[in-house]
Amino acid sequence: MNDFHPSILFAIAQETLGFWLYVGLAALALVLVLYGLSLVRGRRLRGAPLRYAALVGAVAGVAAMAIAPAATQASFAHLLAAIDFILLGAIGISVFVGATFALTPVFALLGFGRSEEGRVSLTSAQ
Amino acid sequence: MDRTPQNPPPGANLRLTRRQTLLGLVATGALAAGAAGARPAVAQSAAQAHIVIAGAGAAGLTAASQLASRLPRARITIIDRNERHYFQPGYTLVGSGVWEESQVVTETSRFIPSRVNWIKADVAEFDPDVSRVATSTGQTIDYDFLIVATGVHLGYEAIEGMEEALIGREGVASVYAGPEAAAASWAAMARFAEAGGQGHFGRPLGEMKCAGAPLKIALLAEDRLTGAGGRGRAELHYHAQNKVLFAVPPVHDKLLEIFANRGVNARYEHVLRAIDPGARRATYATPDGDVEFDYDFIHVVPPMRAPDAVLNSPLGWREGPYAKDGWLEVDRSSMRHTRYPNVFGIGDINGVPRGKTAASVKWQAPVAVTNLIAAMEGREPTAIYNGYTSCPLVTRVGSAMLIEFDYDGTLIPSFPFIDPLQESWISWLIEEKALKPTYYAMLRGYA
Ligand SMILES: Cc1cc2nc3c(=O)[nH]c(=O)nc-3n(C[C@H](O)[C@H](O)[C@H](O)COP(=O)(O)OP(=O)(O)OC[C@H]3O[C@@H](n4cnc5c(N)ncnc54)[C@H](O)[C@@H]3O)c2cc1C
Repeated sequence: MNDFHPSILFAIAQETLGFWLYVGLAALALVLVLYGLSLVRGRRLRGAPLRYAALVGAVAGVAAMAIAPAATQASFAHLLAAIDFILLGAIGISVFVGATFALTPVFALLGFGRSEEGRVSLTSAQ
Repeated sequence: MDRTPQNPPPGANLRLTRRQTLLGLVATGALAAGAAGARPAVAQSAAQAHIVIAGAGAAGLTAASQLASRLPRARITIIDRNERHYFQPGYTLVGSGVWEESQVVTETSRFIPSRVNWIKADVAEFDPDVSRVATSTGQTIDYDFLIVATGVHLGYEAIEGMEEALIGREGVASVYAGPEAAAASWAAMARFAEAGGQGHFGRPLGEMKCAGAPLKIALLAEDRLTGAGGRGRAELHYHAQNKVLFAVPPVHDKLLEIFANRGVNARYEHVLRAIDPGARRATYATPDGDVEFDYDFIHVVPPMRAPDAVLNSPLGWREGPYAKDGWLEVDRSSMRHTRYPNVFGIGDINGVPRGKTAASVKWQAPVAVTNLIAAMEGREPTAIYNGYTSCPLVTRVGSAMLIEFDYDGTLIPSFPFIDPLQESWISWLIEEKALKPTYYAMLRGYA
């Protein structure tokens, strides 16, 4: 009975998500690779990439909160306890943080914010 | 008392269960690195013995997995003819149209560790005096230690006029008999939800598994009636076998409030004795004699007892409240047989107060396994089960109450921030999304 042992949590995650757990893990690995690539290529992650990622993340977070009850065959009318609203908020925040984290290197590598980089370097050269 | 990791204080463990469940749901990705393959650091033992497990349901499979990882040198045999494994806590969801039948069925083989020998037969006879079992296929098997995990016998035959074949016909429902019966029950409930009429619910006398399920079905039927527009044409009656709706007083009080709010009529000391499906009439035994009611929909919960092989063996209680139905005579704390020290019991078969839920198995199995290993090593068993019983009491499709209690009937919520007596979506989420994966992980020994 070692409830916090990572292997138990992992076993529950396997049973919960099945194949999708491995898709999720692969996606996480890909995001880490993208961060590495961004650093190697000298792309700035702050500024525009982070802003765009946060924007998409916010939309995803709100969407997650909107569909969460329906995904469990419930509706907003079934949110009866204070903890239900806290949970819903936590779902929204988790999705926001996750999406922002995952998309930041994507936007950086796509070149979002490169013009800002240019302006910054021009300024610093003067 | 020993407080090793194998034998932590019961309360400490209970506190973690639901957190683990929620973490499993929301934080899966972060958990992966390095976790796959590794097992919790439970002590292994070099002790050698032949351990036979009778029954490969929730309790038997959990015990097999735990024994296989903790006893690398022991020989382990599990006996059960069932090649399918059923996630029984999902039957109420199938019976109310939330899940498909296929969502509660899987293969038993998936959970049997490779080094465990599986005999696909029933135990026909237990002979604990010579430490031997005989199977329905004519084998006799000697053991050093025995775990009895046969679950219950569903006694539909004890209700006059009732048979399993009736489920889904003539307004008769019963989610207990299996996935097919649960799906047929949903078909009957869906017809009732449209048409309305007289709906009857209740539970049998004696010990039963998941005493919350009959209540859940009553409330889910009410919810379905409301959704389908038939509520105004329906009257719902819940028949309690004694003077309360639920054995834990604050839960009884809360249910009274819910029943009053939703117009469910509670009757006490009414036990279903007979049904006449042709006339759609049910007969209930009461202290004042039999009473009859017409029904359009009836949810039948059969009386439960030990399966024949246990009932007819010397293993059952010989006196006291568990003797008549043949429940296994185990010590309620150690899970060890009180007369045969090399016999342990896990799950529904145990003659103990409460404890007939899959959630109880999660706490009973490590206790029985730890104490069995102690016995193998010549030590005194010290691990203790406190009666932990849990049942998310679904009140609607979308809300539930997370009721957890111990032998004393004290509510022991795993999460301080979930009020057990408050209907909530989070408790529904646990029932609908988290229980099954946690249960399957338990069968694989991750408990
Ligand atoms: C409708 C319903 C709702 C439920 N809801 C919940 C819930 O919400 N939460 C919860 O925690 N629990 C719930 N439960 C209870 C839970 O499913 C049981 O407590 C749990 O399955 C008990 O495990 P067990 O191994 O003792 O019995 P089982 O899982 O029933 O397994 C017994 C096994 O023994 C085998 N067997 C029988 N006789 C013999 C023999 N002679 N020889 C060999 N093998 C034999 C059977 O084939 C079976 O495989 C519910 C149950 C039902 C029916």
